Amino acid sequence: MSVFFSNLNAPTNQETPLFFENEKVIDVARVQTDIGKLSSMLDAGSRISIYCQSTRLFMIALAAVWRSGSSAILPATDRAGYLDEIGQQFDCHLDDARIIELLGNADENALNHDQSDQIPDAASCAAIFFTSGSSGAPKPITKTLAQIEDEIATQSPLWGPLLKEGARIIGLVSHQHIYGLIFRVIWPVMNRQITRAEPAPFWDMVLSELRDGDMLVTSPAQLKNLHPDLIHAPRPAIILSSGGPLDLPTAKTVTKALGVCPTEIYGSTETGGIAWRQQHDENTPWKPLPGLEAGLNEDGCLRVRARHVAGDDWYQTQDRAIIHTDDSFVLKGRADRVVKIEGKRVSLVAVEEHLRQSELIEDAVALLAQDNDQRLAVVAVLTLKGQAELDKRGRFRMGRLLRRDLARFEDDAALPQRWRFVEALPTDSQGKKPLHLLRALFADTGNELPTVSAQTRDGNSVSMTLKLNADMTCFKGHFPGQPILPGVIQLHWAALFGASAFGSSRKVCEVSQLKFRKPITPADIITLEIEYDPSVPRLKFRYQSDGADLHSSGTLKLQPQDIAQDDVA
Amino acid sequence: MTSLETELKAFIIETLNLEDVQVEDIDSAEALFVDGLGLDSIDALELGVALQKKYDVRIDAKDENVKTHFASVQNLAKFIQAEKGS
Repeated sequence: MSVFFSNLNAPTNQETPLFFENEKVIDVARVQTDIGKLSSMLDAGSRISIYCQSTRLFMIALAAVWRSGSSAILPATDRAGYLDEIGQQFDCHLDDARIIELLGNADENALNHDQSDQIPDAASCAAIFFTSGSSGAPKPITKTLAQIEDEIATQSPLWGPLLKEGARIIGLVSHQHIYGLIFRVIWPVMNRQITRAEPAPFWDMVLSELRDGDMLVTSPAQLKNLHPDLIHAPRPAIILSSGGPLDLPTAKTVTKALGVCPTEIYGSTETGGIAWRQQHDENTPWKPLPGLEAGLNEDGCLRVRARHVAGDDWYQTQDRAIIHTDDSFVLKGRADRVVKIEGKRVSLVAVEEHLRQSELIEDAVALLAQDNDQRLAVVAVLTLKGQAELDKRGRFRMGRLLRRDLARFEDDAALPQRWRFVEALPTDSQGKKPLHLLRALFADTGNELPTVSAQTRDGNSVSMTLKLNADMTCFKGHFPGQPILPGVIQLHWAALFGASAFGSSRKVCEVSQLKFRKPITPADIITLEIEYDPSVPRLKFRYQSDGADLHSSGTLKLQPQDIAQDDVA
Repeated sequence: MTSLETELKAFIIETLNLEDVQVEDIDSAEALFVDGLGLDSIDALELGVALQKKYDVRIDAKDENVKTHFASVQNLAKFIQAEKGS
């Protein structure tokens, strides 16, 4: 029995509005028809990946895949390189364009109009998510619709009563992750609420539509971006936040701006929701979701048991916690955030806290750059003062300066060896800082690549701001006293950054239309624009600086991917 | 600059895994610790062990002169030459 499918099918629900898109409203009947059309064209027993911009098309595809008796693979991004990486896990891929095309081709007559017997068993409807494992390789996690419905049934009594008739769900987070999927796709059907047909990732979009009493589905990274001096904003009934801990100052700013304290949900893709809180001070504990049991293992790490988590089994987390007598708990950092260096236990959280106390550092993450490293590495964002100091000293001496500062608090074993200074800590679309992205910053031992300080991508074109410095290996001896960026390095970077943005081959087999107009010096702040044409395949690149001065441009014809890979092997 | 000094600079960079530092960035007379290159006590320890291995010199932590020997690349070169010569 599935509440999601029975609500979609119920004749009494067919005129209930399900999505809103600008002023337009789309009712259950229309969505239900599309689900029927699409599922009639899908094979049973296959693995179908879905990546959509539109939440409406996503819901249609997901329900159709389940109804056809297949499993849904939900990639976190649609980057070509990422899809290749998880490519063995699925048989075919559905995106917005493909779904629209299939719906357009559907044969109305072939459609079985009596859909009442087509309610699949919720326990056999699988959605497979990917989280980044410690190696950075995507790790599949399977959730069933039954688990998701159980979780919603657990949470509905908490938030449902706050939502009045006509309340709408506005999601800032993607539906491709479990949290967005639960609250933006399954919840609206189960609780007969209307949800925005597309995610609204930016606050100006949200604020122009928000009405009193709506529900916002957000993440800590997004709440941090809310303008603090907002006045006369409508008051949502509830602001959900999940994906990581929300810091107290942000919780307070949001409360002031939108009139309601964000409700944080603690959990993970593996567990689903575990507990919730509205943070009023730094000691606000987490309250377990109704019916969830919480305990600790011998290392003081939280373990939980609930039907939607692992049925009758306990699930062991890596989060250290202290449980109060009323079952509420406070989290004390992840156990894997304690590393052993030279036999000593070093808390990465403590190192980071001490680093943040420095007037030179805005934010910092400590890590082991490789699994068995015996020294810490740090990725730090500097304050203006810190930036000035870095310009004066260079990266190495800057690292040693910060390390001396840290030595006041920390044991020798905890003092970092390797430093990377960046404009912003690398985050994924959920605002998390995956280890593999941080580790990638240490992958090049030489000072060979420029810092990417900004990057915007639009389909098959990407624009990135590159910061160079005179210490870079490529300026050494080219030329003494008059450093300019060698042309061959410009070609190499275009191929390299193209490969990281589009998953294209790194092997260039032909260079054409090459123009070098103006030399690039270490002081230049460069914009590199790359356009990718996968059909050839080729990359077109342009290096520009302020005032749109063109430094160079050209076209790189690439070796097709499979040949290139053979070459590498 | 003597060839031993150049060799020592490369050795320091390699031993301590000093990213971003080239041989020509280190001045032979520059202080290795704190205000100069900015090495610290942990670096000193690692460097000491590595020097004993490679150059077969005895470094006695209780020796008052250790600080002087380690003050700069110049001093370190003199120290090693003296030890080898003896």
